[in-house]
Amino acid sequence: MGISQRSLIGAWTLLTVLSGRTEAAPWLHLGSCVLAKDPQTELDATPGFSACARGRAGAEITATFGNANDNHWIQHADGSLGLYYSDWLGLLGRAQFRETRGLGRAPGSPDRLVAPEYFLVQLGNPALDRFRVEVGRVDVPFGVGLSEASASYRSYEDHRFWDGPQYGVTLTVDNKVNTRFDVGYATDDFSRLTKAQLEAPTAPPEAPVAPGIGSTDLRSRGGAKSGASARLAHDVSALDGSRLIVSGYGENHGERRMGFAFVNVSRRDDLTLFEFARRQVRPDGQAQAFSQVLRLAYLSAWRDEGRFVGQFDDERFRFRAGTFGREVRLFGHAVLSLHVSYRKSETGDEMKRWQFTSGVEARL
Amino acid sequence: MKLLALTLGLFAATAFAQDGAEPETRDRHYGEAVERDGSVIIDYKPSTEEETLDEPTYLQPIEQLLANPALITSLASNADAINRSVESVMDSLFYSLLDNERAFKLTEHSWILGSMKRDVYSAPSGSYVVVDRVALGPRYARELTRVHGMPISLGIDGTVEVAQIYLRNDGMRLAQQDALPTWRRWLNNWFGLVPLLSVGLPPSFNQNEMYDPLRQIETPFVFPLDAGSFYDMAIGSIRSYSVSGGVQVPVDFGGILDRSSRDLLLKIGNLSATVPYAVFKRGDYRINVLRRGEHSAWVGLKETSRAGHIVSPFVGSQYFLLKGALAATFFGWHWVWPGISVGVLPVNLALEQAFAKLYDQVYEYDLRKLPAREAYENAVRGDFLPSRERYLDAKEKGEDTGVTFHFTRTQQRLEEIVRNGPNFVVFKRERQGELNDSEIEITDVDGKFYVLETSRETNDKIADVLVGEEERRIQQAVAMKVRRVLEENPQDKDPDFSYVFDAGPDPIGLAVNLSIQDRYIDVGEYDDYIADLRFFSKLPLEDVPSLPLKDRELENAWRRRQFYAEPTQNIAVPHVPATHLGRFGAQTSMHFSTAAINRILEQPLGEKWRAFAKAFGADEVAWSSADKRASMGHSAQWFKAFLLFPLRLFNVRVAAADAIKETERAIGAMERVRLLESPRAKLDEFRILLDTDHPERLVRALLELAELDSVPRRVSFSVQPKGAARQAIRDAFRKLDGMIFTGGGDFPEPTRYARSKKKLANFYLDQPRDADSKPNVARVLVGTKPIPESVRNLSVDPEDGEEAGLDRTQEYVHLTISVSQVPPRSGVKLYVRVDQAGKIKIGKLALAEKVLELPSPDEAQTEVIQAKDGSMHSASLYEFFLSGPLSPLTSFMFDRSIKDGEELQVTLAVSADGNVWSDERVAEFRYTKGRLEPIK
Repeated sequence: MGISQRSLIGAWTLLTVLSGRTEAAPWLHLGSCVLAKDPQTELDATPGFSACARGRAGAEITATFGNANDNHWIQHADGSLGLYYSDWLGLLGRAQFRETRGLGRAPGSPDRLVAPEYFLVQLGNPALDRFRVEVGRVDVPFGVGLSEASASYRSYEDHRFWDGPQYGVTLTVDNKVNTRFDVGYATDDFSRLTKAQLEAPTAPPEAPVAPGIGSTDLRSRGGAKSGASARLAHDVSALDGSRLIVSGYGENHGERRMGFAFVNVSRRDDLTLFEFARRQVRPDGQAQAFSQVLRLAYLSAWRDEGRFVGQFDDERFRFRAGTFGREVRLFGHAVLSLHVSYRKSETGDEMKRWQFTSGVEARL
Repeated sequence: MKLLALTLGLFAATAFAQDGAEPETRDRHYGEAVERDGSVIIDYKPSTEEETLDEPTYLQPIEQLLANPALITSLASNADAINRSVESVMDSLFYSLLDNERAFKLTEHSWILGSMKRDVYSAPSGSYVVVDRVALGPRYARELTRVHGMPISLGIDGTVEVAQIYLRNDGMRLAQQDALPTWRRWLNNWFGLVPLLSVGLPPSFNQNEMYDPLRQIETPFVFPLDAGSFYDMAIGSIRSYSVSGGVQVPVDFGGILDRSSRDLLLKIGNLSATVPYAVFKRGDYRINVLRRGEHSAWVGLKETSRAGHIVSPFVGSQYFLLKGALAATFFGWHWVWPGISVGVLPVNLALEQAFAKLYDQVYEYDLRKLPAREAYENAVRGDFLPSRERYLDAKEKGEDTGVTFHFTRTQQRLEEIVRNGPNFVVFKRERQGELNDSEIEITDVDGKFYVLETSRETNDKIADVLVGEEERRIQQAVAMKVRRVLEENPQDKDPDFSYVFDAGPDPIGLAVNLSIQDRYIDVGEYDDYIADLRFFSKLPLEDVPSLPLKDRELENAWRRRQFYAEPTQNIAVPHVPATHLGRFGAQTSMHFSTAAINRILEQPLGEKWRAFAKAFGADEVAWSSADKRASMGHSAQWFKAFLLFPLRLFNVRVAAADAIKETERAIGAMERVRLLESPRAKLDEFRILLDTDHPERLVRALLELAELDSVPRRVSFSVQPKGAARQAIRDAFRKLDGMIFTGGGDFPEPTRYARSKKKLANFYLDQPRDADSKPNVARVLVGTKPIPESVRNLSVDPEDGEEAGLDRTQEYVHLTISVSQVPPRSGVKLYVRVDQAGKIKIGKLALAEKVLELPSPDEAQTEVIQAKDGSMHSASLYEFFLSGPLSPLTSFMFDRSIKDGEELQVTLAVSADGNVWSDERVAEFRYTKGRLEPIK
C-alpha cells in the first residue's frame, strides 16, 4: 500500500510539474485531453509527438444499513498514459488498483487487486482514420461495459461479460459518418498462436461467481484460451445522437456471448446507456444455464462543478442492484461523492442491502 | 395580494398600454434574441406556420377507421394484440383502462361480446382526435371437425357499434371543466388521478387518453336521432353507428407443422406459429353524421357487402416485461400488474381477397328549415326517401327545403389486401397494399354516370420508439369514363350490359399521388427524400435548400476530443449525428391523360424495356436489345427474383432483384392494353400493370416513356423545423415550407367523379372545418420587462411573506400574443401550459396549466398583421407576465424553475367559447440571470 501511495504521489507530482508546461508546450495533455484545434482541418493541431495522461486516486467508505459486517473501506486508483507520434501511431496503457478492507466486527484480510487494463500499440487514430489497428494487451471488442458508479458498487460487477483473453489484435473500420465495425482476436498465451495448439483447445473449469466483495475478479484467468469477437455500431440522429451496438464473441472452449447496447449522448453531454449481454459457457458442447446482465446507466455531464451518476444492474440469478450518486468537483481536481445503492440478491438467500458510500478522490 | 397580481396579470393589455410600450417598433426575428433597451425580445412567430398547420392530413377515413380490421377476429386478435407493443408504457399502464372487452357466455359455443375502446390520434394543429367506440353483439364459434390435426370451425357474429369522433385539446378540456358540476369534474379526472399523473409523468402522458371516461360510456346514447341532440354535437365532430354481421369458416394450417419445427420455434424464444385461413362473408350498414357547420348536417350512408377469403401466417410471441413488478391488495382483492406487452413477430402477414359491393350516399341538411329537419330525422334512422323527395322539391319546384343531395355511388369491386411487416418489440416495419378493381355508378345533381376504376394503394410505415412513425403512401388509379350499353335480347328480363368509352374527351386517366409524412427527419433522410421525389416526379427540384449533413462545429469538437480517446471507452461516444431538422411532409401528384397513356403504349418494345431498365437501375443497352433479351444471361436474372422472393415474408423487397419480373409483367400488360378494345378488358390489364411491389419504379418508367411536357406534375412541401439545429440550418429548412414545384402543364379540371370523391373526404378526420371562423394566434412574442411602476410602488404587506421576498425591480418574462378571428364582443379564453423543455422529455414536468379569461378584443390594443396571401388583418394584443409577482401562473415549482434558469416550453391557444380553439403555438426559451435566450 505504501509503495502504491508513494508511486501515485510521485506520478502526480511529475504530471503536475509537466502540466505547467502544457500551455507553452502542447505536446502533453492532462485529464480531459482535448486538442485546441481540429486535427483534420488545421495542420498545426498536433505536434509530431504528443502525450495524454489521465488518472485518479481516492478512497471510499461504505456503510450498510442493518448489517455492520458489510461496511468497508476502499482505496482505489487508476491511470492511463498515451504516447502519440503524429496521428497514426500511439502507445497506450492503463492500469488500476483497488484494495478493499472490511470494517465489520471480524474484518478479514484486505482484498487487493492490481491489474493492467490495456497496453497496446494503436495504428490510426479514432478521430481521423477509417481503418485502425490495436495490437497488444487488450480486450477483444465486445459491448460497452461502461460503469462510472462508485468503486464499491463496481466491485460487485461481473466483468467476465466484457473481458476476454489478454493478448490480441483489433481491427476497426469506421466510415466516419454513422457506422463502425470492430473485429478482434485474442489469446491468453502467445504459444497458442501456433496452429497445432489452436486446434487442440483445453477447457479450464469455470469458477463459480458468488456475490460479495472481491468474489468477482476483473479478469477470469482460467488458463490459456483464445477468442474472437465482432462488434457493429450504428449511429442514428434520434435524441441528439444515439448509438446501437450489437456484439458477438466466441472462445475456443465453448464460451459464447452476445450483446446489445444503446448509448445516447444528449446535446448537453449527458450519457444514457442501456446494455444487455448474455454469456453461456459450454465446455462440453451441451447447453447450460446462461448468465445475463441488463444494465441501465445515466451519467450527467459536469455542470456547475457537479454531476449525477445513476446505474441499475440486473444480473440473472445473482442480484438486482441500483445506485444513484452525486459527485462534486472542488478546486478543479478534487471530487467529493455521495452514493446510495440498493442490492437485492437473486441467489435465494433473500439478502437485501441499502448502502451509503461517501468518497473523495483526486483527478488529473 | 395574489388576487391583485392575478387581476393585473389578466388585464395586462391595459398595463401594456399604460407602460407606453410601442409594439409597432419591436424587432421581429425568428427565435433570435434581440437586446433592446436592456431587455431581450424573442419573436417566435413562424410566418409559414399557418400553411404548415393547415396542410392536408392523412388520417384514415372514417370507414377505414371504424371498419373491423380483423375479419376473422378470433384468429387475428393474437397478432393485433402483439402489434400494440410499439406503443408506449403509458398504454399498458394507463390508457388500456379505457379499452375493455367482456364476453358473456350464453352456451358452450356462443356468447355476447361487448367492447369499449378509445383511440386518440394527434393532429398537426395540436388538437387530438378522440374516437370512442362501443360495440355489442352475439358470437358463435364451434369446431366442426379436424383433418390431420387441423381444426375446421364455423364462426358467426353480429355487432352493433356506435362511435363518436371529436376533437379535443387541452384548452377545451380545462375550459369545459369550469362549467361542470363538481362530481363530474372529479369523475372526468379519475378523482384527481389524471392531473396527478400529468404532474409526475413525462409530457408524453396525454391526459386526453383518460379524461372523461363517462363520455365513452355515453356513446351509445348520444347518437343524434333528432335535431335537438344534433345541436349538442361540436362542430366538426362525427357520430356513427353500424350494424354488421358475418359468417366465416376458418381452418388453422399451423397444425400441420411437425413437432421438431414447433420445438425449434419454442427454443428460439417461445415462439408459436399459426396459419389461419378462412372463407368469409360479411355485411355492414353504417350511418355517419357530421356536424359540418352551425346548422349544417351531413348524413352519409355506407353499405358494404364482402365475400372472400383470408390467410394470415403468423410466427411470434408476446412477452410481458416487468410482469408482477407492481401489485396491490385492497380488502382481499389482489391486483398484479400484467407488465408491458412487447411483441416479437418475425413473420406477420395477411393476404385477403374479397369481392365487395359498396354503396355510398351523402345528403346535406340545413336544420333551420323544417322540411330538412324532418328529412334528417328519417335519414339518421336509415330512411332516405323523404330526403330524396325534399331534394326533388327543391330542384324541380324551387322550394327552399334545405335538403341538398350530393351523390350516390355504387361500386362492385375485387379487393386484394396484403398486409405484412415484422415487428420486433420497439421497431415495426409494415406495408399494406390494396388493389381494387371497381365498376362504379354515380348519381349526382347532374344525373347518372359510370366509371371503371382500378386502383393500387401502397402504404409503407416504419415506426420505432425513438423517432415515432414515418409513412409513405403511393396511390395510383386508372379511371375510365364509360357508358353502359344494354345487350339487345328481348326475351331477357334482366338484360346484360357492357361498357363502351364515353364519347367525351380524355376517357382514360391515370392519377398518381405520393405522400410522405415523417415527424422526425435529419439531413440524411432529407437528402434521401429529396432524391426520391426527384426520381418519382422527374422534376429537378432545383431550388430546394441544400443542407450540410452534420454540424461542422460539433464535428470539429468531436475530433478534438476523440484524438486522445481511451480505446476501451470510445465505443460509447457516437459520431456527431446528422443534423435533426424537424417534421417533413411532401405531396407529389401527376396525371397521365389519354393522349399521354396512348403515347406510352405506342412506344416500341425496346424503348419500353429501356425505360424500365432505367427505372430499376439495370443495363439499359442490354435490356433494349431484343437479341440480348432472348439470351440465357437475361433469363438467368429470374433466379434473383426467385431466390429473394421468400424475403417478402419479412417485408423485404429488393428492386434490383425484382426488376426482371416486374418489367416482364408490366410490359406484357401494356401490350395487351394497347391491343384490347373493350374498356372492361383494358381495365383488367391496367389492374395487372398497377399490381406492383415497386410502384415508384413503375411511375418512373412511365415517365421515361411519356412526353414530359404533357404530364402535369406537382411536388409540394410542408415542413416544420424542430430540434436543436443552428438557426441558419433551421431557417434554410424552413424555406422549404410551402414550396411548390410544377412541370408538364396544367392539371385537368376535376371530373364529376373527382368532385364526388372530394365530398366523401369530408368524413375524413380532422379536416379543417370552418377554418375561417376559428380563432388564430397570429404571433407570440416572449420578452422581459420590469413590472409596472404603479405596482412597484405599492407598499409591501409584511404578512405576505413569500411575495415580500420578490424583487420588484428586476425584469420578468412576459408574453405578448396577437390574436385574430375572435368576435369583437366575446371574451377570450387563453390556454397556457408551461412545461420543462429539452430534447429528452423523460423526467420533464408540466409546471403550470391554466385557462385565463382575457378581455374582449374591442377592449384590447390592436395591431395590423399581414397574412401569407398579403392581405392585412386586425389582431388584438394581449400581454401578461409569465414570471414574477404579477404572473397568474405562480406556484412553488414554477417560480423555482424560472429562477433556476431551466429550459421552458410555453404552449398557447385561444378560444372565444371554449369549444372551438385555435391551433396551438409553442415557444421554447431559457431565462437565466435576467437574460432570455432561445433554446439552441
